[in-house]
Amino acid sequence: MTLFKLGLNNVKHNFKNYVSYFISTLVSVFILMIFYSIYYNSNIQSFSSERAKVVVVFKVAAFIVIIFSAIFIFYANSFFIKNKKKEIALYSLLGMKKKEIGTLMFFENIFLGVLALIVGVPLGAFTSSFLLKLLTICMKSDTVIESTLDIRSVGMTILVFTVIFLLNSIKAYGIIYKYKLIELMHAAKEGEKKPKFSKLLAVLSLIMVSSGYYIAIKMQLGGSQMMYKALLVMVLVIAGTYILFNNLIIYMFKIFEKNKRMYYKGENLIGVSQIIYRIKGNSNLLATIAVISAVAITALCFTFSFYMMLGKMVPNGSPFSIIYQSGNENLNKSVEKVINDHKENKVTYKADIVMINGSGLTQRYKGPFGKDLKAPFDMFIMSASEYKDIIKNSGFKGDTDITERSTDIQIKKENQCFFIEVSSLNSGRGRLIGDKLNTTIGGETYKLDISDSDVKGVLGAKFQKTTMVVSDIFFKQLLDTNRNNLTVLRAYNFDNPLKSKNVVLDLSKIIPKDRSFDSYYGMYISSYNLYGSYVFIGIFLGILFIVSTGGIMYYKQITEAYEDKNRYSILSKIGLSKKETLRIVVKQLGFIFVMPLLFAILHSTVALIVYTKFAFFSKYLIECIGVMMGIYVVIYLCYYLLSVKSYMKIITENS
Amino acid sequence: MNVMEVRNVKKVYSSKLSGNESQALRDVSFSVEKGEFLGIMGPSGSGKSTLLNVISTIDTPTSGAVTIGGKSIINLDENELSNFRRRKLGFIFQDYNLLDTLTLKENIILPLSLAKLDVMSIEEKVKKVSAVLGIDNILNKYPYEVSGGQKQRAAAARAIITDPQLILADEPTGALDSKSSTELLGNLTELNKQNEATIVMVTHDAFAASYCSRIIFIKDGLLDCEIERNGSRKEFFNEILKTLSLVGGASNDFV
Repeated sequence: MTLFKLGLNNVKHNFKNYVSYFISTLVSVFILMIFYSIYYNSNIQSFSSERAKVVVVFKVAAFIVIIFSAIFIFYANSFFIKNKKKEIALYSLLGMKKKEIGTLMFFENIFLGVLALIVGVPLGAFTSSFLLKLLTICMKSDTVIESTLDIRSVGMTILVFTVIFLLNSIKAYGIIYKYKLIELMHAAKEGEKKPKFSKLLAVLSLIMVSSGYYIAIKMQLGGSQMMYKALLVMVLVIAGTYILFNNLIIYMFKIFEKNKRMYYKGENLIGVSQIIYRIKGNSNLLATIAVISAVAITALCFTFSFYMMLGKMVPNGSPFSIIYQSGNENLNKSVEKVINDHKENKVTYKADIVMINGSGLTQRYKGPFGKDLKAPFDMFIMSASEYKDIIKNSGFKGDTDITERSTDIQIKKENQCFFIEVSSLNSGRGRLIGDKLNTTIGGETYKLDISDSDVKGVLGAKFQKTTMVVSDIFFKQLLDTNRNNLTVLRAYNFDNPLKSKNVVLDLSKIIPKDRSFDSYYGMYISSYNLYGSYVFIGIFLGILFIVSTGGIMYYKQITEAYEDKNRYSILSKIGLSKKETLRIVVKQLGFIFVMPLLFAILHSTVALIVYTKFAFFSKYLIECIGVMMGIYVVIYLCYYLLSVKSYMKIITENS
Repeated sequence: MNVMEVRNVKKVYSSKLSGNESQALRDVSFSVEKGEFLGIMGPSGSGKSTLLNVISTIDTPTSGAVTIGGKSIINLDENELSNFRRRKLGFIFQDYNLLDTLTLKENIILPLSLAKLDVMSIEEKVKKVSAVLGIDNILNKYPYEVSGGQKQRAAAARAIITDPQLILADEPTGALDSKSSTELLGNLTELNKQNEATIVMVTHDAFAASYCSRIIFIKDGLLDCEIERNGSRKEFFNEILKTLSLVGGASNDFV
């Protein structure tokens, strides 16, 4: 029998032993294929070329996917080889040369790899067409993205996979040369070594992680050192996590071990010793799971909450269905005509927003750019009743705090004003109270007290400007002398602004370029188009990570179940009941599963705190993040329950 | 007073695939008195391991009755069986069956810790049994750090720490060199004499068997004969060899 045939027969007749390895490689191929068929999809390509950023996002994602497949296959491969050591020893004992065994292993690897490609590529291509539909929905795009099988996607998948796979095969080859026969024979018996740890490193890991957290939370947006700081945080937290799992956790259990009253109680003795024994071999895996899960949770929460926010945020960008710079009767008439021609939209509200142009200077507010130029900034003067009207009739009466605006503004006297600054501050309500405002309106100067202030404007992204809201009486006085110094915006609301596509298209044709025009529909579509692909990639990576981390944990546990089987059969002989066994297994696996999850949640919570700080704080955002985290935890815990079930089955079945 | 009664025990193994039946135990009856050191001998395939499995509640007989301490162990449920094993029985196996994740001390106290005894009495009992078995100086070592004889003595300590009604030993000297064997058998005899422990030991080694006070021989699933020790151990050893040659099997033990 040739080595080629022996390898083929090994895989064919002993497939059960190869199953978990095969599934892991299959998953890698599957994921690579899905990703590349999306990456090379003709619609996506043409779409990406319009927006350079999307291409960058895809490239980064491609990098992550490749790295992750490599880690995944590497892990599966080393597990596979560990189980094969005895077989290798047997071949060696029967007089096979190392070179021949190496070739045999290589063939086996190749068969599995080819099989994984044959199954994985079509499966991935099929699934990607389904995912592309999802992407279309995410982007709220009208154009249906067709799934075309691009030969480049197949080529790239095979190329990347082959490179990863060859590297692993070479590693397998190396093992045969490295080990002595006696070591191979005892491979299965070789347990994880007694854990060593250092108290100093345990303390250091805590310092590293917490200082990483501290820097992250104190980080300011846009600083020149932000990139370096972000990098530093990542290094601190990731390295800290690895050191922590290798030292602090073991230290904690050692302390527990010293407390005989607890340690000798019931099943603790078995459970804790079992965990300590296992942890050294597992600590790097657990740390990896913690880091990957942290990335996954952050990505999922970030994108999910962002996606949920997109729809809710549209009124911030465009509070009315249609708003344009008016002040021209002819234009108003033709706009009116276009709107009336489109019968599908019913006008539910129509108003002119009248504001006076002016400029101002204050102590504490330096204008929209925040630079202290000692020069006055442009601003709108708006009447209090106008402000209230806008809020009452626009998208600001929405159901979440994202679109909430201050309704209880404090203007008690004529020389007082409510000041709306243009700023990226999260909460700036009342920040400028007590400041004096020197304003120039139509050549006249006025001094006003800022009795109230906020950072949230009511005119939408295109018309946003520093605004001063004054009492109606004062506004009327100003109006009399400033008839030629006005900005008038006309606003319409439709019954269903999302159906106003044709109106918006027609209006954009007739409204001259020098007059600003914005629509709810336009805002809605452009934000989904722009961010939909980010969201898709975030969710894709998130799902990829949770599936693979859960899978790795599951496989690791059932491999250990086979190793622990003998231990539990001894325990059963000395009178450990099935119920007690279950309790120990639940605790043992529970610890292994929950520990990385706990740190993942902690890490991602800090990351998300930073995110909410930079974006803007909103109760709705927190809710979305909470929901997503909950979903993640539930899915992850399903893997835990599955593992407990399989583990119990393995250790209780008769050998 | 009888600690254990075995009445007409039969065990039939049938393979579901081929439908072949094999009778491991055909009809075995005997009893063990309190404070006795009983040996069970027989050639390979005679059914001694099956018998031990049945009386140790690890396996159930096809028919027949087994009572230990006046209580039938047939038809107990999972939970009762575990409890029974933990409280009434002590096991010593050929391959020690110590957990390599625990120190010898932790291995020994395992049954007590499962019974949720308080730390004080646990420590006290460990001190006592480890002194009897001469392993008090290696209690904090792990199984892989000590010799086979020391491992087996730790296993013996684990078996007796709960003061069981019956200690079951399955080829306890099987993996030991002659010096360790002698030591362990001396320990068992001492336990038997001083603590009045009842011991049932399965062995095919005539030398080990010579430490017993009575031996039953099993052949082809049936009780073949039994001999009792009256004189010195040397005389008993010779008697065992004679009986073995009649029963057949284990002839290689002459060497």
